[in-house]
Amino acid sequence: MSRSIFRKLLSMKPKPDNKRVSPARAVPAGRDKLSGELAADLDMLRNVLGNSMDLVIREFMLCDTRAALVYINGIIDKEALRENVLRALMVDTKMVNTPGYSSGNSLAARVKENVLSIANVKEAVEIGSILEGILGAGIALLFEGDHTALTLKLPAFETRSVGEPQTESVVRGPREGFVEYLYTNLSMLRRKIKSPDLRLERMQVGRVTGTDVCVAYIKGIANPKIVEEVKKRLERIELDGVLESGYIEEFIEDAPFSIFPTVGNTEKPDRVAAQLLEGRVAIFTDGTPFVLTVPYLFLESVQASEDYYSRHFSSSLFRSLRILALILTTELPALYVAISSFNPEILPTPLLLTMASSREGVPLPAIGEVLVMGVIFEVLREAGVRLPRPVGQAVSIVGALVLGDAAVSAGLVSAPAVIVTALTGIASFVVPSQSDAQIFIRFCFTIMAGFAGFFGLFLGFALILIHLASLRSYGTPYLSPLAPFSKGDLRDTFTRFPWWAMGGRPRVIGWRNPRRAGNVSPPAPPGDKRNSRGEGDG
Amino acid sequence: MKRKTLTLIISLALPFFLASGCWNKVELDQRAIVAGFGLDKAREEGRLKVTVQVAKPGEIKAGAKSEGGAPSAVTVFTGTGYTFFDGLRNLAMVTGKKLFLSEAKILVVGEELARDDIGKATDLYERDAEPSTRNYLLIARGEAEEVLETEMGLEKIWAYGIGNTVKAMSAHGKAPAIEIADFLEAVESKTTAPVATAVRLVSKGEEKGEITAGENKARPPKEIKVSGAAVFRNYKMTGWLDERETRGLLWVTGKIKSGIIVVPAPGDDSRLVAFEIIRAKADIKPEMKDGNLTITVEVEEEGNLGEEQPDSVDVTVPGVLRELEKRKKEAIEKEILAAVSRSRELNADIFGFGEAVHRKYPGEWKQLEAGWDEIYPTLEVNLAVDARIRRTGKITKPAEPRS
Repeated sequence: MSRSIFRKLLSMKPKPDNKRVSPARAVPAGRDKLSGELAADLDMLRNVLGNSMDLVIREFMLCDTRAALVYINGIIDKEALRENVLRALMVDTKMVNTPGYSSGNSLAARVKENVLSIANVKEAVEIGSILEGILGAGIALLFEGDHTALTLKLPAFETRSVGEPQTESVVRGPREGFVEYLYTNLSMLRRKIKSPDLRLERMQVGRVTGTDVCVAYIKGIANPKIVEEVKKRLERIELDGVLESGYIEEFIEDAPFSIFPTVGNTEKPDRVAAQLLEGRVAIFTDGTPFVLTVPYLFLESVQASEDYYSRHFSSSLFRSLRILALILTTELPALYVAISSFNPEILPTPLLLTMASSREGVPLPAIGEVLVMGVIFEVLREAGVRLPRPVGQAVSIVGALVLGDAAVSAGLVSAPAVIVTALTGIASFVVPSQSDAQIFIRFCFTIMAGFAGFFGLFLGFALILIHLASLRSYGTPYLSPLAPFSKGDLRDTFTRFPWWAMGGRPRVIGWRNPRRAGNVSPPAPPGDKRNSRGEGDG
Repeated sequence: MKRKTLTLIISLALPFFLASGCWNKVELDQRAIVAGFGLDKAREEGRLKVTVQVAKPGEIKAGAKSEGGAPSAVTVFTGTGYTFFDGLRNLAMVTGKKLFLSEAKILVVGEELARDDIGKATDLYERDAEPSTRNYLLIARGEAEEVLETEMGLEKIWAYGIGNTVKAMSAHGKAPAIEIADFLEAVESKTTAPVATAVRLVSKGEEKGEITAGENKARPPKEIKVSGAAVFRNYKMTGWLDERETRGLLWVTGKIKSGIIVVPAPGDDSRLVAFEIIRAKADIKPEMKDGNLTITVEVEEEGNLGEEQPDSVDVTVPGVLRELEKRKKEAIEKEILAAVSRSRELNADIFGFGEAVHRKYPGEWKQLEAGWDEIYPTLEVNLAVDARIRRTGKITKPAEPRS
């Protein structure tokens, strides 16, 4: 239903201009190459950039040739510019007299090879690539009478320092989280995976913003078809700007009209590394700490990275708890409605009497109570997220005292309804990655239970289950390893087996390279025959 | 295609919301939770008197007191109808709320109706979805209505109190705990006579005796006493078992879980010794020899010496425990024999001997079955009781006065 409404809305919009806006597009036709005349080329750049106030053009003499530096103030490393570029060009060139210096190709090539003590230097002929270099935190070096310019990458701008991620805090495990700067994020990943097989492929998305996007995977583990598919879908994105990975997510997900996410996100480098090692593909986006991972399975939402760091007994226990919480938060209000309005006989007598006594004199029917309290809870939660921290306390006081306690004592809602709402709300925080879907399911189930009791609830449950089973994320069934069933993967599903018992990569994703450990066996005392690496696991 | 899908979804979803119309929906506060049913013959010919005890959940915490000072959170409604179901629906005219039958724990049937036809009470239980066949079936000496109108011990919802008492009494062995499902199972058997728990009213403070409720009617306050059993032939009640006979019945059917056996002390008959039953097992073994059918009832009982009236026994003296075991065995045998002779009087196979014969001699049973009523009263019943004493408590001898 929503699909066709969306389509209708989309069709009313004018067709967007599909051509990619690269910086070269701003260059007048026929003048897309350097002319070799320094003044003209500089004028050209100045014009194209609209004589921007942060544009800096520094002209100087390189021995006896006029040259110019072009850069944008504030995004480049001025220290390095001074020491390694300007000084080298203006002072050192006068002292060196290397044999090759005076001969060779163009001046630009000679400067690049002999003078600049900067790692990332590229030669550029087209105005477009020069502009790209300048705008991508670099310096352009132009020479009088030369058709080749140099672009030097010297980024240095204010970034947030690496801190603990707010959304995924852990008790045990690495506390670093991604930041907004892409290359810092990539460095964090590189530090975790020191393998030549780690592939980082750069793409640019956003016709105006030209946002750097990096597709990361481990060659030999990731399914090349999935990597191809990711790149293909990224290339298809035609959008002015990409400010957060959420923009990309909506373009590359499999089920855009589903309430369930089919693309995962995380801001923890260790989680991304683990995902890559299982054969997934990660998509880094410049400007956001949230990294997307595909394929994304439903059961990933109940798996925390901490599960793999703490001992397997407690990990398994907490996983089961998270599944319980997921069921509670989606079904508890509906169960309350179905039981209290339709089938109270399933309650034990004392509980029924307690519930009946608290329902006495409550003006709303059970479904009304639960819906009203549910909406109030969501409003409070949303307010708590948006408000500045000092005001947040006021919200919680209003929520806890006024809406909870006072509403019950005034007889507006019954105490069980408040308990149900509170439990539902708390449980919804246990599985944060499905929180959007949870709210929809919760309200749908509640309304269906309000109309037809348990029949409605189970009808809704069946619909959701059918929908989940129909979803796929990059060719991987969303409910795997449950449906289709994969016995080996169950070790890391509801439970988390010890690492020495999980020698196999998850089959549904990492089947290309099914073993992640050699023959593994539990640790044994020295001299024990189990140490002889005889047996593997199944 | 898009429009088709949309139409399909809407046409599928709309009936769910419109046609269901909150089907079967009754808010909790709109339900009258029935704690117990009572069924009697009404004064008008051909009608039944239906009594329901309705819980008042609001008063469970409030600590309201009835006139007698006992806690109460119930109201009792009585009405009549041509059948049980009809009567229940007629009650809605009085209660103002829809009666909710699922949480009831007991069904009390008056003696008069039970002697006439208890099937009038049980069919609704089997047929309707709401009432539960796990309810205890009690037969009142007198009127069921009176039982439901009488306050019960410490429980605020009296009918639940009666239910708890039935459960507790079965651990005592002085009344059977018969659920309606058990009763109906016995009805289905061609030979086994169904039994039901007996309940009656006694005046407060009065010693337990053989007084029927009818005699006490004018003398309040009364209290409910659950003891004994009612014996049926098919749907008709034929007689009562007293406490002792009831325990005899329970020994044979293996339902004894606990209880106290009191015997006179060896050597001093004025002093008594009490045993606690720890474990009991029973087996009915029919034997066919030369066309003669005999039944052997094997009972294995284990118990502890729970109490003696000092200073009547010395368990350290060899042979004393043997003697005590013998006395206990005799006490059990007496109880069983009492039940057997009572059942012969009533010609009701309450023990299920017929079913045991059926299981062992399925071939011969075909001839026996038809004439079981003639065979049963003269059936030879042997007892093989094995009573053991396992422990004698924390002490061997009671505190001895120094002389």
